[in-house]
Amino acid sequence: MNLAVELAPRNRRRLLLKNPVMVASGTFGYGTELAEAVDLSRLGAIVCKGTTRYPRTGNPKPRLAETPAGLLNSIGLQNIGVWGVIKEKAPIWATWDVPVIVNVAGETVEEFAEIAGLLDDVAGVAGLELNISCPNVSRGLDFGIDPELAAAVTTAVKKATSLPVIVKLTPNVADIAAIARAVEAAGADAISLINTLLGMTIDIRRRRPVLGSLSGGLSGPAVRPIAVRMVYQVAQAVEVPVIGIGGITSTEDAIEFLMAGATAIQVGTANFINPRVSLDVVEGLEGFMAKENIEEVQELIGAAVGPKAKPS
Amino acid sequence: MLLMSYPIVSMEQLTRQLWLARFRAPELAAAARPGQFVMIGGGEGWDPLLRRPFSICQAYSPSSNRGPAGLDPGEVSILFSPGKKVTVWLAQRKPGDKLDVLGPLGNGFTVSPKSRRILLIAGGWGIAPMIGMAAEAVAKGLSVTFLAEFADSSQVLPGSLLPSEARYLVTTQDVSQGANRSVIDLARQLLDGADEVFVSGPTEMLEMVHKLGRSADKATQSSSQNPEGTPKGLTIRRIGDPFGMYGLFEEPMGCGTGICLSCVIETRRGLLRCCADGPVFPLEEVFGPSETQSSPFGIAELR
Repeated sequence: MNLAVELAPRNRRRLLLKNPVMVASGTFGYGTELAEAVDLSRLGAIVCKGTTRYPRTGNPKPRLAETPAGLLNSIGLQNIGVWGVIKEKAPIWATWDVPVIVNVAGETVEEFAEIAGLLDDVAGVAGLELNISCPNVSRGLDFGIDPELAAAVTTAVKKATSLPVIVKLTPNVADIAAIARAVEAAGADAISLINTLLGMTIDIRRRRPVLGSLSGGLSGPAVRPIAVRMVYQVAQAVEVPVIGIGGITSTEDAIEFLMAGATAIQVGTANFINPRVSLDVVEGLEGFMAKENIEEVQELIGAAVGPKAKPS
Repeated sequence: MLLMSYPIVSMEQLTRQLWLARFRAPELAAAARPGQFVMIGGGEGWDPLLRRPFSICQAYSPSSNRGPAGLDPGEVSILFSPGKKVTVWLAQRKPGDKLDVLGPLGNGFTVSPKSRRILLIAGGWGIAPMIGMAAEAVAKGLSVTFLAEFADSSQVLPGSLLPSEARYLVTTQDVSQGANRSVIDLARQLLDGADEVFVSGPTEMLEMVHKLGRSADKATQSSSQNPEGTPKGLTIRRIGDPFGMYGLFEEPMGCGTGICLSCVIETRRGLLRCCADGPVFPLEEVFGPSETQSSPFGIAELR
């Protein structure tokens, strides 16, 4: 039974995962926090917390609000910065048996490239995931809502590093396939989606928004149908591997995304409820394939949708 | 970090607002320390989505000779007030129902090996972890004074939950002129007789106790010509932290495991996570003057 998937077939450095199950940025810290509680070597890959050029303290509290089958977060990219990652985290990652992908958030195109350049030859870093649209940073970071800007970031990063580059798309757009095509043309090795959806909740007794930043990013089971639809649209539109993210809490959810066209998936919010949920998904996937006599996980990818439409 | 389902042994209403849930959790009881907490998944399905934090009240490790009052070996208890969704749901559980529990989490209280006498101060919800703390301290031969404040006399927790060796003092808010006046007054008198002080309750109370500690320290410094030598009761508190006073802080949490960064507290060491770097912090670390300017480079490294 073969669960391995290649996330960067166009890149000579490759990014081979032992299985399609990854953990999403912002939901698993730097991996080090849970290394004792979770057998990380069972995971396909870890995507670490969004990393900026300099350390950030993040947004005012409250930073979290529960919503029906979901949660809104406005953490604001509190992180140790790229040098913190290089000096403290990467050396640990280099000893692990699971690829670690650094999620990168820059405030300008140049900053994205700068961070990428710094990480290019750091042992322990297997790839980059570009956070081109985080809703929680006040200066906008809205590269993700414009195909040209999204492409510009991708191009600049591809010039700065030979690492596999995954571009993470925001769902807060009218035509996600257009963004996907633009970043693929600009050289993205793979595309991951969705990031969080913009949302807000109001405390009617205090008569004000619950979050300190007023609005935040929605994640969790509530967003899954939107994510599945978008993964389907993007997988139809591009040739590079697509990574599905959005409300996955179980093996069945993960398989939904694979069948919609995803080569791999990321478990996110569910890690807050059960830090070992990603291992359950791996185990469940193995069990499902055994029961259905599926030899290669490739057979599941795109299994629910017809042949791809011709690229336009 | 265990994630297990434990059967409820009993669900008891102690006072108008306080309920005590006991459940059989030998693995948790063996691992837990006073001041730690658990994240409990309540409700049905995704309603609500996230777990809720509950301080561990008492834990009777299967390997202990003596356990806390009212518990059998291998049992753990939590104290709570039914108010919102999960606590209301919890109060409706029956013996035999399973609780989905993640923990133990957090750093818990550490008593200095040199301490002989400790003062525990609790207000409101904060009383829960102090009960287990008192039991463990007494079992180790320490002299324990437990000072607890309640909203009014109908809510006073019966002393039967505490070890008989602990000195149990109670104040109620409806007696004092303003909120917390009487518990702070009493604390001021008791400070001198303690090697270390542990506080649990609303942040305002923690801050008031910290101010008490600082003024006690100033009193020491100004009377340093005392021919007797170092004033009694204050020597031990200089180990590590100026005042030997520790608080159990509470913040709304998301994951409880140190990942989501929702529960951060500003401290002298920078932004720390209440769930993983705490919930116990030296009071001076949170309320003391900050050493660094607010600069990106003064941020505590996330572990």
